[in-house]
Amino acid sequence: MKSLVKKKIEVKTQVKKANTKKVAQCCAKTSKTIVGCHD
Amino acid sequence: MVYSKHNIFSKISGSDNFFIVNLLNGGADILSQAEGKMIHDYLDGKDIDQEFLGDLKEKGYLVDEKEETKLYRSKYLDFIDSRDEDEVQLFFVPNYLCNFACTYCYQDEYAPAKQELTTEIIDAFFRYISQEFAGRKKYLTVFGGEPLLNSPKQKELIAYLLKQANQANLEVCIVTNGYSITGYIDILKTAKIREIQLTLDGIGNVHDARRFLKGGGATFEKIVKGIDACLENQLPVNLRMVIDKENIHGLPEMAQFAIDKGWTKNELFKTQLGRNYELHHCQLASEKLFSRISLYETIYQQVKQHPHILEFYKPAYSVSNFLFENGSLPDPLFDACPACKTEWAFDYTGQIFSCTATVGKADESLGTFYPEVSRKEEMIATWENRDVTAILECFTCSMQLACGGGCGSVAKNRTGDICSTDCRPVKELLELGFGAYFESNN
Repeated sequence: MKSLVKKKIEVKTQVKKANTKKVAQCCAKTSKTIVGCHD
Repeated sequence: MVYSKHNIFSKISGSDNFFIVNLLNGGADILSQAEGKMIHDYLDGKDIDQEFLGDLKEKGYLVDEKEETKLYRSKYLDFIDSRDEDEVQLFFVPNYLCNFACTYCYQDEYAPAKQELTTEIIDAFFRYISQEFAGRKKYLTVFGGEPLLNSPKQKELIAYLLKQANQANLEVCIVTNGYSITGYIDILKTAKIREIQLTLDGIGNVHDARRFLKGGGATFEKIVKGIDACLENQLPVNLRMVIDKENIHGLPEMAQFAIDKGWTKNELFKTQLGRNYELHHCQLASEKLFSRISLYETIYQQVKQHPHILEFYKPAYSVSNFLFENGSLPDPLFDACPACKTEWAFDYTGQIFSCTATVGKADESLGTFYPEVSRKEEMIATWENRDVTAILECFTCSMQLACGGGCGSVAKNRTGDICSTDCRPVKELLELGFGAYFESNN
């Protein structure tokens, strides 16, 4: 197997406390364009 | 230990090798033909080489189910925290009128409103967003119709809108067909312009056959002059090319044209390809449309024949290009739909909408900011709650954290339910992307 990941993979298993704030969600950081999240 | 339900495993296009990717733990590997066969054997319940089995465990492709569930929850909360801090994109539509009659317009069936934009409505918009999004990072995107129409009154209104944006300390993006932009340069220079999106669908006649003036008339040359004018005046350009089977042949020429103009070397210039597709209603010649995967298969073949296309546009192929350029996978994508989370849209009639896909559709209104503020909280909550954990089909899909459930508006148009799927062909795109970015560089 040839890894394509340059930095060490960080594996967190500790569960955080639930976030009770009203959430506002976001678009993929990889797909940020002015208009274009529909497709 | 079990095979992670977030593993995406397949054969690389044009290669004997395989890939395995896991968006939850960030792993990405290329496998030889023999290693690929061992994974197939493992999935078929056969015994496989112990050393290879150890590698799969070490790299997180074989997991303890309980640990993976904990990791999933933890990453989900990270995602929620992160989007709380993310910028909100606020669209403002000053009109739905347009001077173009593009062959594929999705707004062409919108009923014209009798109302007109006024400075009072612009003031009400800024009042609303300063209260509703107080404390959030945000920016404004002016959208249409065509916002930069060539009339003195429109110029006055856009100048006023930008002045108010300056007062609110907001950066501004403009989405325009580009036909009249040269007449707006001085107005645009008064604002903090982050980006101007213009569209060319090819060179000369290829473009003019698709994006022409109402009543007919070529537009290519004026838009090219507009792009030059923007770059000369330090206004960043995001050039969009909308593609279907009628103009895909023009992509190599379009790329060469941009290279020859010196645009691709300019730091202020970037590009995007948009697929022509049916958003709200069917198009007359739907056979000319690409599916998501067939578009990228065609681009993949074109890039092989015309590598200079990559100077103009680098296809993402899902997360492949990100992995190639960053040496790591992006964070898990629990939600691809920004609507009512980091995206809202407002129009000149005082209506509030979830996003650019729904803006202007009467039955999609989520309330008003003018003449009075009103909000349809139940509808808004449905949009806000949409993510892969709220869509049953996503929850059992191994590609959920790359796809993010797709577009809520497309999903609603398909099923009537916002919390349904708009699946992206992630595995097929990765097959192409690994072939394009990793195998071709070995």
